Amino acid sequence: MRHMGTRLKLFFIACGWLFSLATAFGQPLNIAAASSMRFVLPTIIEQYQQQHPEVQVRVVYGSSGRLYGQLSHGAPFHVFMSANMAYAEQAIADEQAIGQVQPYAEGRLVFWWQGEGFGENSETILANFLATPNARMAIANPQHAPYGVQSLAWLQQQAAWEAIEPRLVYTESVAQVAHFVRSGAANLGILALALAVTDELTTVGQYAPVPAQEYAPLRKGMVLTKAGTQHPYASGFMRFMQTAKVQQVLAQGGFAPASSSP
Amino acid sequence: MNPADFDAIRITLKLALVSTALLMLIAMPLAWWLSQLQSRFKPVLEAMVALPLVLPPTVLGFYLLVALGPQGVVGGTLESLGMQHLAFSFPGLVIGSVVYSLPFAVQPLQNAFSQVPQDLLDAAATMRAKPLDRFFSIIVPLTKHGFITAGVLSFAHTLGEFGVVLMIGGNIPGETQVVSTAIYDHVESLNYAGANTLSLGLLLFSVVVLALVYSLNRGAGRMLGGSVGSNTTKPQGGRS
Repeated sequence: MRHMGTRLKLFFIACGWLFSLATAFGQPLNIAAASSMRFVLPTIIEQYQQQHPEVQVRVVYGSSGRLYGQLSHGAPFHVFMSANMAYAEQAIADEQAIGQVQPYAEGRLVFWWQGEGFGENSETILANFLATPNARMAIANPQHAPYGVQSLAWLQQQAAWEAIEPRLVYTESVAQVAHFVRSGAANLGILALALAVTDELTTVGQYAPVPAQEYAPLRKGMVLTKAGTQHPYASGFMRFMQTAKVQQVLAQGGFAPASSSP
Repeated sequence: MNPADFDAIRITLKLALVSTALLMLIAMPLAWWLSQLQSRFKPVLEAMVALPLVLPPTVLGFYLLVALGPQGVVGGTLESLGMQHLAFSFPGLVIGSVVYSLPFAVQPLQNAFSQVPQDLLDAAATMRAKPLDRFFSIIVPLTKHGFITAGVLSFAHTLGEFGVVLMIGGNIPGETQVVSTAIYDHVESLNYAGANTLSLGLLLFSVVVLALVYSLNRGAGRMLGGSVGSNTTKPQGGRS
């Protein structure tokens, strides 16, 4: 009988151990990602889950500033993928995140519109836009969206800035620029190339680049959050983001490779 | 519809049910107290209950986020006790919904309660009915419609909530993403078909729920204080 008792005890210990393992590993991996990643990240996660089918990955998209705000109010994110370096660095400075900011991609700005062309280069696009009565241009809100910051900075350098300014509408995130233009509420938008090259957008509209030498590169950094240090898969996912395979997906998705130069 | 949509529907219904249950528990005594209160501070109290009707959800969401988060009064206290703070969690959503839908539960009940004739209660009291007995055998049956209106409106209003749940919930799929915020996500990713399915579902559901209240309240004139949006309170202090 005592023999049985020991075996039973061992069985329960094993069950308990398996259970705790299951709960530790069963916790979904929460990623907070800049909204420019909205179309390319699902592909990357699919590839990641082929390697790690045991972990569930959940993504919350939004403007980097909003996600940073949520993180500092205790949102349970494990990895924070900002659209710039600044919010990621800020998260480390605030001790919301640990270690170093890892650059993972560079973003590009493009004009995007539906239907008839506004033109080939930025001058004709702006001229045609201004010539259209009551036309509106959507950009991401520069207060908390990095793409919005660069869009605004670029627009402010233009000779026609004073005519452009009253026609601007601001969206919650850079992905929402696409929605504003797609729904017809705005005629022209400035958004991420990574959004413009997707099937959802190419089937209904056209894009043209904003001259890359005229705005600061949108270097994107990600960080491991404090909660992420407790998650068995978080840092592994960040390493996965740096692999050649993923960088290739990012390149196809409209991002330039992450340059490590400051 | 993808699995996250079904999660969102499940979370929305759970949120609406839990919030409504809590609201009824809170609103019942509060509405009764307000309906019986004879104080010059009464308008101030009523205004506080009605505040969520006029305040932008962002204001409520902002204050709740700050209070419930790890640095906040509530969240910080919980953390120091070794518990989780409440921002971006389901309990946090419930608190937000309860605050946000409070007037929808209190006002119909208060309306109904204030129309219960005092002499009925006095008569019952002379027959030695205890206060609780009076409440359940006289007030509740007379104000049944007030209860139905309060319950259904709280439920429906919680379903339709957006700003507060976005701010304090953070739109985390499978955890705090509700139908309204899932729609927002679909629109942002240009998934108009997905947005349409959920929106249409929510629209039809809301119509059914509201039609149900109105049909239940038909002929409520005979009963006390049922009809949606009725503000016909008896003049206060008219009791002899």
